[in-house]
Amino acid sequence: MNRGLLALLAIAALAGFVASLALGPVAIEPGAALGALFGEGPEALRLIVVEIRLPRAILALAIGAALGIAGAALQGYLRNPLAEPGVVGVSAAGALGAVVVFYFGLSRAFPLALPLGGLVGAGVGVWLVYALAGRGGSTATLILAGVAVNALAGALTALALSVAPSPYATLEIIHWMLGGLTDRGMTHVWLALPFVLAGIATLATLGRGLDALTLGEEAAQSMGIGLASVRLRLVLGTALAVGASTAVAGVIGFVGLVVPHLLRGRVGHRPGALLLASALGGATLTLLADLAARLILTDREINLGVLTALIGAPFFLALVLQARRSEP
Amino acid sequence: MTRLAAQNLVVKLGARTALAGVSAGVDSGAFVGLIGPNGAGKTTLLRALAGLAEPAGGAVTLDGRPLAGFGRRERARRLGYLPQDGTIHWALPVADVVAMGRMPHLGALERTGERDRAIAADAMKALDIADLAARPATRLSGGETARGLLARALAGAPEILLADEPVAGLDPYHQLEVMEHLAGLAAAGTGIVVVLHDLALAARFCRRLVLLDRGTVAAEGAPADVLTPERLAAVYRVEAVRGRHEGADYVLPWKRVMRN
Repeated sequence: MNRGLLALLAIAALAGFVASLALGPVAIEPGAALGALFGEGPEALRLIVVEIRLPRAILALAIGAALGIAGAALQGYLRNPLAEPGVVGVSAAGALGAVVVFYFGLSRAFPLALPLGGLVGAGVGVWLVYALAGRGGSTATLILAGVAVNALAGALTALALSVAPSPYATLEIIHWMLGGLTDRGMTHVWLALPFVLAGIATLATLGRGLDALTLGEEAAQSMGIGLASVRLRLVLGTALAVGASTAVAGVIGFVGLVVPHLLRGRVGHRPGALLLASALGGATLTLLADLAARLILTDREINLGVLTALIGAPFFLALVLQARRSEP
Repeated sequence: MTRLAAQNLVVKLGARTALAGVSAGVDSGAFVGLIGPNGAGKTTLLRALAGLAEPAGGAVTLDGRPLAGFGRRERARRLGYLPQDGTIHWALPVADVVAMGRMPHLGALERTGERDRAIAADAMKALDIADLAARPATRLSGGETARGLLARALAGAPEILLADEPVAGLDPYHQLEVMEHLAGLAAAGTGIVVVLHDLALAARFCRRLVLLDRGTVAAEGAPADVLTPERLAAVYRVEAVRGRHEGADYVLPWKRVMRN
């Protein structure tokens, strides 16, 4: 049953990827767009598809997958359906890391510093959330931890913004705060992709541990699960996947919240089975949201992070209400 | 030889000494009841026997080897542990929760197979929850959850089962059913240690009792030798009605003993 769902989600992600190459201010036939990838068709068409749309589609696919699987993993580990990289502040911390690197000019001297900055920021963020709300903390504790981490990262990013040396720097920092894939090229793909893929692969190993944690930490340990190893892989995988994603695309919130929630019932509520499904679902949702971001307004683009927040925040509200009702 | 044994075990929980030099153990086929008042160290001893509590002194050995020297998975295959915390966090079908008990027996990439499902189904049948197989585990009553979690521990087919209050929250029918099933497993060779608050069940079903009091063993032996009026007064601060029924001793706590 699981295989069918995964196949369906993979087809949806693939369709979203092709649509992302074909659609935009200039609409291109899907066949022609795919042809342009392999060097066919007129020069202008190839330029649009290969230089502008391809890196964007790759990033949307990879970042969406990263956010989806990181959301599913955080929810499984904290045993709380409200955990998500954006909500608990991991994305904001990752963005702060990238902003710090950018602000001190490290990225010009050493391009890899950008994803590494995001990685360190996101790693500190996950660690903080775990320290504040780990070990089966209540929903209230988790949300408070998220508020604290988000506030701290946001304040420091705003500080960088308010003392930014130039309008160009201001614009770049705003880009990280709002989140988006506008003007991201192949350089960004090469900077982020290896880290994102390593993070996704690390998180994908958590399935059995997260399944066992359904019964609590002691039961999981007694079933042969090494909790220290699960925790390490969770923090490392989330830092890699979310940190490198936010380093190039800024904060794209709520993907990791919405996708696992929609898919949980379809995988029989098994947190381990939710991992891969959420990666594929996150990729699909992010590709579609990025398409909407460039198509809704005809004369300019909406930031992708703004769009996902507009969809995700009401969804989050509904989930909080639901959680409040079930927690006396 | 005692298969799973604590020797002179000291366990500290923060600054408090939860176990101050406890020696106790279980053999194949033994049915041991771990009893004692609240805070006596029953759960800590059970956790230590399961390899989940770090000893500050003494040792826990399995077949003569230090338990800490076993790999996590091998330990999990040999020792089943049912913790007191009975929360199931996601709405998995009950059958899937019970099948999780097979986890220590699966290879790294192996999925739960037909045989594992059949073993899980047997465990559910034995505990009278076969008809709940498809029910979301978060929608069970307290007693149903307790039986589901015990079925999970049984599905692992451990050589030694360590169960913390397996009958808490169960109605009398299901308390007897669980105790009878555990007695049957012991008769078939499984070593069993249960933490119990119900002295009547402990006296009736366990072959041996270990009475803990403030982190030490106050008494150990056959139920009739452990549950003497003096000890019940000294350790539990209760007086009990006692008698014999169908050839077995029973103990029924009746009133508190007031000390000045």
